[in-house]
Amino acid sequence: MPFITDDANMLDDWLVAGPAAALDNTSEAAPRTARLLGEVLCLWRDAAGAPQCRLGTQPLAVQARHGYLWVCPSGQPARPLFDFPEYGQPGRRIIDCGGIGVAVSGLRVIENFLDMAHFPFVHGGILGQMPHTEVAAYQVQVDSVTGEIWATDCRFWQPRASAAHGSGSEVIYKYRVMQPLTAMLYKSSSRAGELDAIGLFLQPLDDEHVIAHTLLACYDDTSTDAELIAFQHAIFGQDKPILENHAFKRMPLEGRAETPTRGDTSSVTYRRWLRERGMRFGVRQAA
Amino acid sequence: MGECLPWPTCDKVARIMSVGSRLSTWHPVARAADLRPGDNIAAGFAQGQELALWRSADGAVQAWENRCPHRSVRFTLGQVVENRLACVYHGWQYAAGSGECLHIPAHPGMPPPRNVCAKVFSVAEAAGMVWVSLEEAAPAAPPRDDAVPAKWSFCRTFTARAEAAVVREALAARGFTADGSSSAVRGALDGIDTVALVLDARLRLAFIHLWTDAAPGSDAMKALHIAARVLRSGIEASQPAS
Repeated sequence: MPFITDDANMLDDWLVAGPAAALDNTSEAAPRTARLLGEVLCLWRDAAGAPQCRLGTQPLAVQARHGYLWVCPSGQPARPLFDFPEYGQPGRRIIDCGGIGVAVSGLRVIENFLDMAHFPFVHGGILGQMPHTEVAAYQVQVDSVTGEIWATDCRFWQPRASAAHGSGSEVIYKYRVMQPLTAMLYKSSSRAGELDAIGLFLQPLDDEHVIAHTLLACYDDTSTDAELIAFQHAIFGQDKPILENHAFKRMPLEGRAETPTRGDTSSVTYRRWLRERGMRFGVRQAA
Repeated sequence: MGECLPWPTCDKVARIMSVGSRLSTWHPVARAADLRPGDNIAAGFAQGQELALWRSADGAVQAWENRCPHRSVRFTLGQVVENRLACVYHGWQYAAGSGECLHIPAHPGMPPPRNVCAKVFSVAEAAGMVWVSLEEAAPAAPPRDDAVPAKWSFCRTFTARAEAAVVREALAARGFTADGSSSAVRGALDGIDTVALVLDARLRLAFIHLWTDAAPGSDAMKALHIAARVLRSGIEASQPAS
């Protein structure tokens, strides 16, 4: 294998390699390049409109779905790509917020995405606000059919929960981890009874670097695309310096190097879920 | 203690550490006046250990492993709250002195588990500097108070991409002498009386703290700044490219 890891959790899965729209006006002679697991892939759309991928002279399995390109490095995916039913639902706006590089293990980025306790400290005045720091108990389960992690009944007090929210309220969240490096969150939307969906899809460059792609599938009748993207960038811009200042860039899964607390149920479940599948990519080896 | 900065094995450390620093296990990591009570958190380095240096509101100096025990985010991004250090990520608060976690904001009604504790190093102030010991037990003797003559002024801290032993050799070649019991060497740079405190911050990176009898703002002080840059250039030019 040419890639920088032999972890089947990476090689035998579908990994995001950028937005599908990036293949507009490409051809085998003029492909787009994307970095993945230490290699540079060539991607293009053939005459029939199907995505194609090559590493050197070797063709790789690729599909365009949910607005992104997904590559399976080994060509032998252990499971199909996750479902994303909200992507095609009428009335939802689909907005690709672009890719942002982060110099840390992608596992840290997903764990941060699942975490509410940092809202008042990292996103103060937006996703949280002093003195509303308490994380109430919530439920975490692993779906026995899909193997996905679901955290439900999450609620947190937010002064300005999205571009469409003007004032403070308790916001309901659901989180879903589909793969080690992809997750979704669902939260109260501007439309009664409906939840906005936000996807976080990480393109792994190596054990300590990812490109984080964020996709909105949301209800919002007032904000412009630029305003919605700017909101996500503002949030991500607050997380990025924290994420890049972990003393260990890779995430420990065992031992006592890091100590969780009661409200870290999502994190504890995610780390155990990774441990049980023998995750090594992006993982700090026990001392 | 699990830090990820590169540092060689013990044998290699023993080989490259100078006599002066082997005799003293106190490492001069920062100027004492640069840590203000209840205010800033400075990053420090000693032998590959990354440190968060700060002062509680009551003035006591602190040297901690630069890593919150919760998720390993650097403490230097946090803030000092009275006599506690609060992590930037989730606001967990740790007590000056013991490093014990006193407050987890996500669960305000729950006393933090007793085993959540920042790694705390022995620290002392002497000769206008903050000194840290990385040993489990603090050295029996405090750092020497006469490493820098009284009334001298701080010039600057500068780095050199070289081992501290190489820096000391370069200073010795310029006539600097050690008194043998502290990591200070004394001599003159460009004719200006100077004390240099040298330590291995991390592998092949030395920190040099310069003190002088020149007055702040004087022509001699300006000349010493220039002499320090010349010294560093000379030292680094003599090093193999890495």
